[in-house]
Amino acid sequence: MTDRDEELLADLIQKWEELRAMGQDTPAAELCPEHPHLVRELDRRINILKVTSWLDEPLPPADDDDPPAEVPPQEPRTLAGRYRLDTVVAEGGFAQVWQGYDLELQRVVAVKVPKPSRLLSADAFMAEARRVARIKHPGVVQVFDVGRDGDHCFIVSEFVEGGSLGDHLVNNPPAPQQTIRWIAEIADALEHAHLHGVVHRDIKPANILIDSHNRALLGDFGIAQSANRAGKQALSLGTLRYMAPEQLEGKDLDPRSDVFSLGVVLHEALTGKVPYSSLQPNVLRREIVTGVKQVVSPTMSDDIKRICEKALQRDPAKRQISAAQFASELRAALATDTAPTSTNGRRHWWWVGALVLLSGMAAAIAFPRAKKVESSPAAMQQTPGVFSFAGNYIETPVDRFSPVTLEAWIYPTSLPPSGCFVIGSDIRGHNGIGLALYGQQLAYEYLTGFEASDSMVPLKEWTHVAAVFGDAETRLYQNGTLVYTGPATQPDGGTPFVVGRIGATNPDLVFVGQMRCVRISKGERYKADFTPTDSFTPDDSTVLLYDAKHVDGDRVLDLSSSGNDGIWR
Amino acid sequence: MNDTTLQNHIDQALAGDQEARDALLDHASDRLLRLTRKMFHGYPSLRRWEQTDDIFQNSMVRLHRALANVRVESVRHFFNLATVQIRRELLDLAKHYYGPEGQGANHHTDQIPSDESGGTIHDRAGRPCDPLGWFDFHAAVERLPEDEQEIVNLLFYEGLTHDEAAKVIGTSSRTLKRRWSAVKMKLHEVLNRDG
Repeated sequence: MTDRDEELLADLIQKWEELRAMGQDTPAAELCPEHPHLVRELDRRINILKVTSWLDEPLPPADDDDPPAEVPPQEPRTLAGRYRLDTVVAEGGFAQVWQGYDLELQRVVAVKVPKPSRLLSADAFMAEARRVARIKHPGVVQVFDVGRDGDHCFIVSEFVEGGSLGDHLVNNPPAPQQTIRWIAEIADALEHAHLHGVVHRDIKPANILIDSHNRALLGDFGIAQSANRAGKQALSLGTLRYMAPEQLEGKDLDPRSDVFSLGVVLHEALTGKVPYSSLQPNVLRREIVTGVKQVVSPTMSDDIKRICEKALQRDPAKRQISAAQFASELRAALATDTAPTSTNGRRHWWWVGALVLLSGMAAAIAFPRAKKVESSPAAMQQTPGVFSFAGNYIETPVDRFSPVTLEAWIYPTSLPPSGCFVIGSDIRGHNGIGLALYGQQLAYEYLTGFEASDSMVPLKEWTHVAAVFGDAETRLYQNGTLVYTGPATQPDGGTPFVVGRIGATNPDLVFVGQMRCVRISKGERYKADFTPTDSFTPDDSTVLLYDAKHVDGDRVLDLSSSGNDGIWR
Repeated sequence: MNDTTLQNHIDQALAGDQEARDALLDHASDRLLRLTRKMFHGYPSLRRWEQTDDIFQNSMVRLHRALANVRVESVRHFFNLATVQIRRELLDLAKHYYGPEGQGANHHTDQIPSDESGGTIHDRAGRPCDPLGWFDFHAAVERLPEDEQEIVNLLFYEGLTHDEAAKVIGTSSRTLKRRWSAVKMKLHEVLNRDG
């Protein structure tokens, strides 16, 4: 085949393509009567173009919505010789859920069987399932067992007969106050899970089960998380319309992602629709990520609407700081005299009294001032003599330095699994120096990241914590006892210390709870175990000393006489 | 979205306009969705086992992550970046489903009459009908030289017309058509030789 022949063939192919575009399938012999030696090769090439013509077909439109084929009935079977699968009660992209029977303990159970094609690593799934099984909470569906049967992994849990919130919303819509109470219960369960380092990632009505005692239980923990951890090809991440923007953007998730999803559920449960205008996945994705199409229905009461809007903020830092705060805000709204409206816009006043009788007393006592939480930064300091932190912080004028000793008396009420800072400092793109909690572990931050001790800081107990950043090492003390020694750090630039989070311009990793006093000292104040005093006193090495008994409006007075007053923000 | 609109979005994205960046991601998401649906369309067992949208949303998250922070310089650059990511997702999806637990045990492709024997032969360059076929196709595109890959990117993955693709590359429509035919020949050869 000469170059000239190749040129001729290319021209003839184009001619054939043009004729074909007009509906004519012209034989090779007709196209090149003057070049009979090319007919055979032209014919071969034409056949190839016919075979590959599908490449020129238009793609189906994005809103093409062919119904899926019917699912054939599944044959009942017994897993691991013990769990008889009776009927499929739910099926999603990731797994089937069966009503089953435990032949050994002779009780009805639910058995979740992930589809093997969706499970990249059975080992990872099993490990995660076991971890999740350790979450014990009245609001979490109890996991009884995990196991394998051939290629199938499975999770056995209690069978909740009342159906899901999704079922209720369709078949028997609950009164708004009932819905809010259920969702507050789910927030309680979520908070418990978060404290154990588990982010649910797939909060939706179908995963909220209502038992025969009218309690809401959260199911399906950890499945999506296992899948996601399994690697890049893992295929289960949640359900699009309930996913938080950061989840869609593939960013790191934390408990506030679940708060967002619960906000979507709250909106849907109270108004009958999710706060987006489209359910087409690519459009919906954009609406969630940009937040521009988000519509919080005006049919909700002002309080509930405000809670919902806050939970649905695109920026996680602007949402409720924890599921616990979300729950407390909902209960505070329930305890007020402003009733949420139903989906048809009519107000239900009767339930307020009933709810107080049933459960609202506790809510009213526990959260009488919750509505004031957002009113002003200073209002966060609700209890005299303590600093109350829930997203706010104290900005100090003290640039970080070393050697330095950071210490505080703390009373954490919530411990985000991703960590939080008692005293922090940060430089964008680097890490600073900080006294931190990593989950529940006492930790410190130095230039390359967290160093965590094995010492667990208890929730809702006053604990003295200290970090001594020395020339040769860094030491952590809990209640005066050395619990960890790690590498030293060398500061590489000035940035002020902040109490209650990592930095004044970095809203992440916030401390939630109370502190009664904070001290920053030059040098290594502690070199051996010591007995901490109930409050701090200044001395020559003290650079900053804050005590919650000494505040002036938003000004936190420095008792060290160094003039380093802080600003409560 | 035509290339002028795309170029405007790119210019605005370069200037820091988040909406323009979102619009570019939308475009890529739309193509990914349509290609995902095409891949699983006509494959009933897979449609039963998985919903296309369910599959799509996971790929979309990764596509978003891959494209969110890159600096796009031109329409041509954007198409190349987006298509590489889209094809990577489609390859992963196809690969995931043709394994032992996937549904792709029976690999069918179109059959065409043989000009020599008058019977039928299996041609691996025909329209894929299952995940393995799609995997072979996307992998074959990956093995093409870059300039040939770009033609497939623009015409198949991005769905541009011949005239639009020619403009993006900076060549004549006639040349582009000739190159497209040649690329299809090459794909046929690669699929039947290596597939």
